Amino acid sequence: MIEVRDLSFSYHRGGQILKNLSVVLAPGEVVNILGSNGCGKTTFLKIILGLLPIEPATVFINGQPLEQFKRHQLAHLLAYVPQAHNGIFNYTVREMVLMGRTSASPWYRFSAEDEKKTRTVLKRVRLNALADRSYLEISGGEKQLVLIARALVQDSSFLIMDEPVNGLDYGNQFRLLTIIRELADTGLAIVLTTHHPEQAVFLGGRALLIKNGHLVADGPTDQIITADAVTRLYDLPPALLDQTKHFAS
Amino acid sequence: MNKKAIWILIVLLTATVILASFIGRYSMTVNELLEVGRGWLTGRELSPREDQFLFLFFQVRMPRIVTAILVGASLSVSGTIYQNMFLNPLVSPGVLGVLAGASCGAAVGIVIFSSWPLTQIFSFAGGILGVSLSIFFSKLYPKAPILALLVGGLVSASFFTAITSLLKYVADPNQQLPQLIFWLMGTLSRAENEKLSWIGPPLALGLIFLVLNGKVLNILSQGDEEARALGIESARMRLIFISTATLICSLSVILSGIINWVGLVIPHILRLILGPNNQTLLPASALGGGLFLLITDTIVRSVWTVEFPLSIFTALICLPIFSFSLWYDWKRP
Repeated sequence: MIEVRDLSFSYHRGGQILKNLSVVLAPGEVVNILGSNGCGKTTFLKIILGLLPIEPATVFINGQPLEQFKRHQLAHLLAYVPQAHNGIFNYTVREMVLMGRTSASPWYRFSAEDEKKTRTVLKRVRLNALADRSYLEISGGEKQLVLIARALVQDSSFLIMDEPVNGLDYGNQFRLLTIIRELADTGLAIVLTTHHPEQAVFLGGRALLIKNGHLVADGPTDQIITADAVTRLYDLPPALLDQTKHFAS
Repeated sequence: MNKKAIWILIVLLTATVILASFIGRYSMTVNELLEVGRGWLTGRELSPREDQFLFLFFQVRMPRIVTAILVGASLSVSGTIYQNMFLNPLVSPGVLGVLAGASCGAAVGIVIFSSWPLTQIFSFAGGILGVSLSIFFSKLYPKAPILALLVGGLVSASFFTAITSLLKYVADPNQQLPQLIFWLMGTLSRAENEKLSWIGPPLALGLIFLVLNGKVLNILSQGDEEARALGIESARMRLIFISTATLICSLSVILSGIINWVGLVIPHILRLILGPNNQTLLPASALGGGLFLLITDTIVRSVWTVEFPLSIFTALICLPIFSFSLWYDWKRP
């Protein structure tokens, strides 16, 4: 379980990004985080991943303060899928995914178990045919699946994704969302940020709406993502209200 | 393929070591070596020629061969490390000001103190100072640490190059300048067992440590944020990798002076052939760098009767190879 208590955060010489945010993320649930650009969604994810410096005793993982964990311990609990990975070196898909086993495999070589797990996960995200292809040469959707596979081999209980469908075409977005939903059905907790309320509805679970650093709504996705909530969250003019009519009112 | 490549490199290196032991201006045959070995084992008194042979083999040729392998391996491995650290396949040990700092230290030792031991110590200290200055400059702009470190390296290298140029200008043209030029252009002619005995072990240990940590280096090449999310203390590991690479680089400068291009071209070519996986690339770089420098030095010392600075030949050989590899990399599908 991830517990955030009264969290405020500001970057060096910048304004406050998150303000007195408190939330509990339970194992096995899907949590969609929505909000406009710069509202603090990615910052929130990076904080719970321990990637940004915070005040002590504001984030707890399984009851223990985040700052007490070592990096390799956190990697067993939380796996991260970044928005994009613009690599320089052309690792193969298999090599990229195997990297997710590093913290679990301290010896200088990967074990047969690591290799087996990698093959299983590649199959699960339907990438086994691409295992020997260069990561830099596959499509955007496939790249995102590689990053998900790399996170899955970490065997952690939370999968934390920063705008996983960003930059993908419409078809690939839903293919990827389907895989994410399948992963959620296996009991894996998924915390993701998205700019698309309709995708949050597609994934279901719970939604957190963040505006100007404040948590303005928290509840079941199908109940809190309403036309009214969306127009207020993104400061849409009333004339555009009709555009959001496919959400419940 | 990758395991095979490592074995091929091991076989090639072994064969080159055997060849390099017997060829040179004073050539030897295998029979002669066996005869001397038998004489030495049975306690037979050796002839003056056999004594000379033993001296040449163990005091001149072997240290030179071992030095060539260690220097080539350390330049190539540190090049691989820097390329991964700065996410740029075109950087080399020179980028952090290590070589410029070490050159400057050597110039101070030669021109101001005219002392060989001090030249070695200053060269090592210069390498460390070069990288420290780069890191200091990078701290002035913490917003973009990787870019700032590269710029810091440029500033540091320029600073030390300026001082070296000044020292070249004031050096005694008959005594100091030729010695300084030789050092700045690299040579294995000063390889000796005594120097190897105290520089060799830390250099070899540094090499082994780096070669065995390819898995962690792969993660660091994913960028800081991803490396940390994957369970690596990236800041600490980065410091360890950069310090160790700088250490082996500076030690190699004490052994051979400045030898350019090896640290850039060998990892670059091997990455094109074997791929970027550092679990394979690092051992291949160590073997490939050692092999390359040993072949170059053996050819240079066998063909000419005078000692030529080695950097001239590494540059002449590496430049066309590097240009071809860039073109090949660009053209391939």
